Amino acid sequence: MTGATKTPEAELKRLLLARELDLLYELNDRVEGVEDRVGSDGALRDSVHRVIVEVLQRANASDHERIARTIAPLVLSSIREEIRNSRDMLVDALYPITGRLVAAAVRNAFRRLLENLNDRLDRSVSFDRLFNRLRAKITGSSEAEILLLQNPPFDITDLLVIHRPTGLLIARIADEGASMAVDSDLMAGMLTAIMAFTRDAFGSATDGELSTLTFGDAELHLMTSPAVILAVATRGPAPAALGTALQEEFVDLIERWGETLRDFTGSLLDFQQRALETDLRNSFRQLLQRKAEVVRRPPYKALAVLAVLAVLALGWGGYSAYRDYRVDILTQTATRTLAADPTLTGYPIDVAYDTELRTVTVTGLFPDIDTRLRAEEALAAALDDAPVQMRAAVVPRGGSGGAIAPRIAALEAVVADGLADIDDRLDGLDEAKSAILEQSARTAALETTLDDGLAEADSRLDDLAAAAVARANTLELSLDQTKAAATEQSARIAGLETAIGDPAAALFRFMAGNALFFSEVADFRDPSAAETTLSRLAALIGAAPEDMRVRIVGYSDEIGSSRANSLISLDRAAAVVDRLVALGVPPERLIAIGRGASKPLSGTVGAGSGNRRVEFEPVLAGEAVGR
Amino acid sequence: MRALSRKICIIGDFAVGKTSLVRRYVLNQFSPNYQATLGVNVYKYTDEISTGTETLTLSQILWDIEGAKNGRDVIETYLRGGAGALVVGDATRAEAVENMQRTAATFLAVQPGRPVVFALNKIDLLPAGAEFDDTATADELGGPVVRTSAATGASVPQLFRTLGQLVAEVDG
Ligand SMILES: Nc1nc2c(ncn2[C@@H]2O[C@H](COP(=O)(O)OP(=O)(O)O)[C@@H](O)[C@H]2O)c(=O)[nH]1
Ligand SMILES: [Mg+2]
Repeated sequence: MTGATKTPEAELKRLLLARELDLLYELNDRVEGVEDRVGSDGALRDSVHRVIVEVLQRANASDHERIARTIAPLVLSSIREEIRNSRDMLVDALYPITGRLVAAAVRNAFRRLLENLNDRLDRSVSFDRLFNRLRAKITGSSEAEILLLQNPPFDITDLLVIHRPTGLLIARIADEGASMAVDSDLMAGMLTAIMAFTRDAFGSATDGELSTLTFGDAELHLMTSPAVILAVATRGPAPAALGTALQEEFVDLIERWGETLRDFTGSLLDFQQRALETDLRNSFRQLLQRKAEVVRRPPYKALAVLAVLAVLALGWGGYSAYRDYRVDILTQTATRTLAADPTLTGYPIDVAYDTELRTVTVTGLFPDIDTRLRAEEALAAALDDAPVQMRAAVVPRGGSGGAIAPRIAALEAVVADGLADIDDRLDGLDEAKSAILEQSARTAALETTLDDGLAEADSRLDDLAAAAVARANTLELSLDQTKAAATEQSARIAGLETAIGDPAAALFRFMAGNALFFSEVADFRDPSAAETTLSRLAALIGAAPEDMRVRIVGYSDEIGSSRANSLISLDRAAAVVDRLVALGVPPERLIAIGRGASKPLSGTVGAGSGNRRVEFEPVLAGEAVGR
Repeated sequence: MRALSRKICIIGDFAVGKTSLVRRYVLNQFSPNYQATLGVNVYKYTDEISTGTETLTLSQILWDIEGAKNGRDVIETYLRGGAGALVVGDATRAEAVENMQRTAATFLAVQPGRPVVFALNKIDLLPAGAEFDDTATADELGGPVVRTSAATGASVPQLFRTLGQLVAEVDG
C-alpha cells in the first residue's frame, strides 16, 4: 500500500477505505500464493506430488475399504494386461520357481508313497522278503545293493540347447564318443519340429509336451520352457533319480540364462557362447557325477522296497537263482571297483560275465596301460580268485592329450642320462682324489728320505703342492659344472612338465575335481590335506596364464538361517583366499563369494557334511571384477 | 565375417515342387521321389550373402513344410520363428498366383513383416518362348518373383539368394 498522499481524493479514499484496502491487498497476496502452488498444471503436479503419498497413506488408514475399491480395478486390469502381453516371458521368468515347486511336490509325494510302502512291508512278512534279507545277510551287502545288481550301466552322451521359437541350435556339448552323424543344426530343427508335431497331434488337449524319445537303449530327454529346449541324450536304462536331476539342471539353466536365451536371434556374442558352453559342460559333469552318486548311495528304503518288488517279480529260486546272483555280484563288484578309480571316469568301460568261459570280462577303453594294470590288480583283489579277462584297449598314444606317458618316458631317459653323466664325473673325481692322496704319500716319503737335499726337495714339494692345488681347483670347477648341469637338467624337467599339460587345462581339471571341506565356520576339516590342496592350487594358478582368474565359492550346509549361512560361506571363501594370497597368489586373480546352502552335495548337515565346503570355478571372460 | 543363423520356411500347395527345389539347392540334385515325414523336413545350407553394407555367412535352416490338407494348425506351428519364407507355386497352373497369395498371408499372419520371395516353379513344362510380365505379378504378390525349374535347376540358386539377402537386410 502506498503511503504517499498526493491528491485529496486519494487522501479521502485512504481515510474512508483504509481497512478494506488493507484486506484487499492481503487477499491479493494470498491468491497469488495459491496461484503459485496450483495455478498451472506443473505447479499443481508439484504440489500434489509433495503430499500424495501421505494422503494415500492417511486415506488408506482411515478409509481403507473405499480406496481399495477405487484403485484395485485399475491395478488389476493393468496387471492382467501386462500378463497377457508378456505371457511367454512371465512363464519363462517364473519357470525356475514353478519348476522347483513342482519338483519338490513330486519328490514329497514320492517320498510319502515310499514311506507308506516301507511301513506296510515292515508289517507284512513274506517269504520273498525274508529270502532277500537272508541273502543280504549272507553276502554282507545291503538289500539296496542287491537291487542294484539288476542295473546295467548308464551314460549321458549328448546335451543340446535349442531356441524353441525358431528351432535354432544355441549350444551343444557332446561326449567325445557320441556320434555327430547328424549335423547339430539339423538335429535341433528336426527335434523342434517333432516336438511341435507331437504337441499338435496329441498334446494340445493336455497342454503336455513330448518329454522322452526312446530308441533301442538310447533315450532323449526333453525339457522345455517357452523359450528353450534342453535335450539330453542318454544310453542305458536311466536311474529313477535322473528325471529330477535333469529338471534341476534345467531350472538352473533357465535361471542363469533365461534372459539371454529368450532374446536369442540366431547367434550369441562370443563371450556369451563360451560362458554358456562352460556352464553346460559343468552341468554335464554334474549330471555324470550325480549318476555316480545314484549308483553309489542309493536311497536305502526306496531301494529296499524296490528290491522286494524286484524279487517278487522275478520269482526266482534254487540253484539258477544262486548262479545268476553270483554272476551279478561279480559284475557288480567289478563295476564298483572300476568306478572307484577316478582316472577312469568318462571312459567307456564295460564289465560282463562270460557264462561260457566263466570269467568276468572287461571291455572298453582305458586311458593308459598303467591304469589298466592297476585296474586289473584291483579287480583281482576285489573278486578274490574269480578269473578276470581284460579285453580292453588303451587310448592310442600320439594325440596331444594322450601323449603324456611317452613324454614322461622320454623325460625319464633324459634324467637317467644326466645322472649317468654325473656318476661318470664323480668317478673321475674319485680317481683324482686318490691321485692326490698318492701324491701326498709320495711327498711324505720324499720328505723323510731327502733330508740332505732339502732345498731341492722343498722346491719340488712346492711344485707338487701347486700342482695339487691346481688340480683340486680344476676338480672343483668341474664339480661346479656338474652341479650346474644337474640344476639345468631339473629346470628343463620342470619346464617340460609344465609343457606336457597345458597349465590352463591343468588348472581347470584341478578346479573341477577338488574342494576344501570345513568342520566349523572357517576351520578346515583336515588342515594338512587342505594345505596340500591349497599349495597345489596356488602353484597351478601361478603356472596358468595371468588372465585366468579363479572364483573361490564358499558353501554351507542347511543348518541356520540363510543369512547366517551366506556369511559363513563367505567366511570360508575368504579364509581360502587369505591362504592362497599367503602362498603367493596375487589377490586380483581371486574372487571370493559365499553361496550359503544353495547347492548341497548331499542331504547331510554338521561338521562331517560335505556341504561345508569351498569349490573353485573359473572366472568367466568379460565378467566384471568385484566381490 | 559375421555369421548368422536363420530359419527359412518353404511353403506352398501340395506337389508344386517345394521339396524338389530345396533338394536341388542343398544337394544340387533333382530327385523325383521323396519321402515326407512329419509334414516337415529340415535342411541346412550355408551361403555367403552380400547386403548393401557387408558380406556375411548365412546359415539357412530350411524347413520344407508340407501343405496341410486338413486343418491349417500344423502348418502354423512350423511357421513360428521363420525369418523369411519361400512361397512356391506351380507355374503351369492357372490359379498359382492366387494360391501363393493365400499361402503368403498365412505366413505373414504368424510372422508379420518378414520377407517373402515367390517361386513360380516348373517353367520347363511351359511352352518354349512364352513371355511373362513378372513385374505385374510381383506387385500383385507384394514380393520378388523368380521363375524356376527344379528339373533343370534354372534360377534355383538365385531364388534362395534373393531371399537370403532380404533376410540378412531385414533381420541381420
Ligand atoms: N517338370 C518338373 N517337375 C517338377 C519340378 N519340380 C517338381 N517337379 C515334380 O513335381 C512333383 C512334386 O514335387 P515335390 O517337390 O515333391 O513337391 P512338394 O509337394 O511341393 O514338395 C514331383 O513329381 C516332382 O518330380 C520342375 O521344376 N519341373
Ligand atoms: Mg514336399
